[in-house]
Amino acid sequence: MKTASPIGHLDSDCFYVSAERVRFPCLRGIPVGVLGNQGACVIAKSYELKAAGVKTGVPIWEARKICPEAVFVKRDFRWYEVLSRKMLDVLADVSPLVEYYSIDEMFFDASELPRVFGGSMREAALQLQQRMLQEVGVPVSIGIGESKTMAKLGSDTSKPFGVHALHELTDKQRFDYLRSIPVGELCGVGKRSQVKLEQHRIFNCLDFIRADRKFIQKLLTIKGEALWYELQGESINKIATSRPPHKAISRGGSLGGKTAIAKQQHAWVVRNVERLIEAMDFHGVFARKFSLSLERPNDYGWGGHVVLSEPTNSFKLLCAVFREMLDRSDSRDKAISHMHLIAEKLSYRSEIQRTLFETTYSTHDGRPITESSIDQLATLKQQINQKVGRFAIRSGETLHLPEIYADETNDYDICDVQGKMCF
Amino acid sequence: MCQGIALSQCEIPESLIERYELSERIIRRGEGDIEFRFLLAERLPVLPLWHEGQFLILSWGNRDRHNKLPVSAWCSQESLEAGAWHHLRPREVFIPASFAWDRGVWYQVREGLKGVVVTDCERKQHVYVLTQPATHYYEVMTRNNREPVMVGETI
Repeated sequence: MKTASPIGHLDSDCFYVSAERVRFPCLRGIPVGVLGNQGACVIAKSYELKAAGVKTGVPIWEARKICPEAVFVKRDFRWYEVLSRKMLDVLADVSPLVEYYSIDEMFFDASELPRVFGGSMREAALQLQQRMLQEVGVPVSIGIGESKTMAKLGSDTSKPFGVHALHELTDKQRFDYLRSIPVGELCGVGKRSQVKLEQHRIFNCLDFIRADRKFIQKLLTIKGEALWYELQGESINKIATSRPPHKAISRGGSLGGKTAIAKQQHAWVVRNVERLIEAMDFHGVFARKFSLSLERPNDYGWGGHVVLSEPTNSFKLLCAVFREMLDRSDSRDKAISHMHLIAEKLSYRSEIQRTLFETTYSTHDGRPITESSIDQLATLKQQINQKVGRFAIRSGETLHLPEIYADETNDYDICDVQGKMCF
Repeated sequence: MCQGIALSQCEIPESLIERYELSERIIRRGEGDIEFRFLLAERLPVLPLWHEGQFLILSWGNRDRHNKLPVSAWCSQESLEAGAWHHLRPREVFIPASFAWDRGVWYQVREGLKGVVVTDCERKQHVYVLTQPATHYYEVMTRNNREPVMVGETI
């Protein structure tokens, strides 16, 4: 059964680099690498840098050897979000349904494109591509198909700056096309799944759809089965205009190099608690279970969790909870390189029946921390930050991270671009 | 510290390209715009700068031990603020740059760098790039613990 509404997938070509080129035209036509991880590695690259042999994730000291003429740029997620939202606006203008899949990828209902732009679907998609370039300045590739999987395949295989309307192909063209794509290229088929499939002589997408559906389900679970249907042209995964509720919210990451200094470790906990609470506030949730995960370069790392009696988003309470976990981890004098704070057992604030009793947590030295005594200050901080800007006011305990806070781009990370379906 | 800069063609008035014989410095990086490159490693290193509305090209730092100027290409902001350059009457200037180069890494510069100009005993002007302690990011990127003072940004 084929669906009536064709689905489009719009994918920006080397988005971070393209976004930098919008505001800095001198970067056009040259090999450009966008640096993340405190300047240590290439997180995005231009096609020129790719052609020189630099891969994403390569440390800068290797990238500069591979391509001495490359120019490196500091990442700026605030700016990338501005352009990403502009792209969403353009799409929303021509499509009744748009899914914000990631910062540089969107699915959309393409049924209206020919009516909006005129001509065939392919011609209309080409005009949409031009409009995106004129209004946002970012080159995009567009795929159109009967399902999200087909649409994404279309955009992936038309890069850079191409358009592929797969639903307009004849059966023969479609089979030839699917035969030309290795099964490992499919979104949802990782390395291990690819090996499994190849062991059963399923090498390309045509082999995949010709395989028995139940066999695929047995091999790759129902996700593989959904992929099988989608490649047949049957839309299983619908366009999602809003993100399903989170099961967990996490904040953290690299500490910008390892640190064994207790004050800095505590400061990182506080910084990440502030970020975690901000994310919880955005989603309007409280949490009851909190986990801390630490990566220590010289041993196996550490993980622990605490379950509270009541859901909370209290800054003071969570600081106490996470700091106690840090102390429990026995990381004193041990270098930590990465830290992740995870909030689970989430409840919407509006659905919480507040207890008559205060939520209390006893710190390692037996001192009780109660929620109600501190919320006024946290609320005031939140209100000021909402008005003035993110982290304009933050806890004084983060002052042990002056280098991090002197650099305003550290205030904004890819996970802070809210509303996306995936990371 | 900065050991070279590159300037996009659009940053330099056409008439000055001929006057300063800048066409010798033209480089094209990939398919990008023409750029003019100024490296400290040159035999007679120079830097472009804007000072009091004038575009000038001056010697970059000093290698001569006899002209009483610091033998360096850079002027640390701390030493400038401490008054160590006071007797040379330094004047702050703007060094336009599209990209800067440090320990083999080219990085983007949004506007340009700050520098100081001083005059030697033969009345020849020299420009020094102003530097400051590197941020953590800059140090990771270039493995250098000092970075140039940039106009309107810190990397």
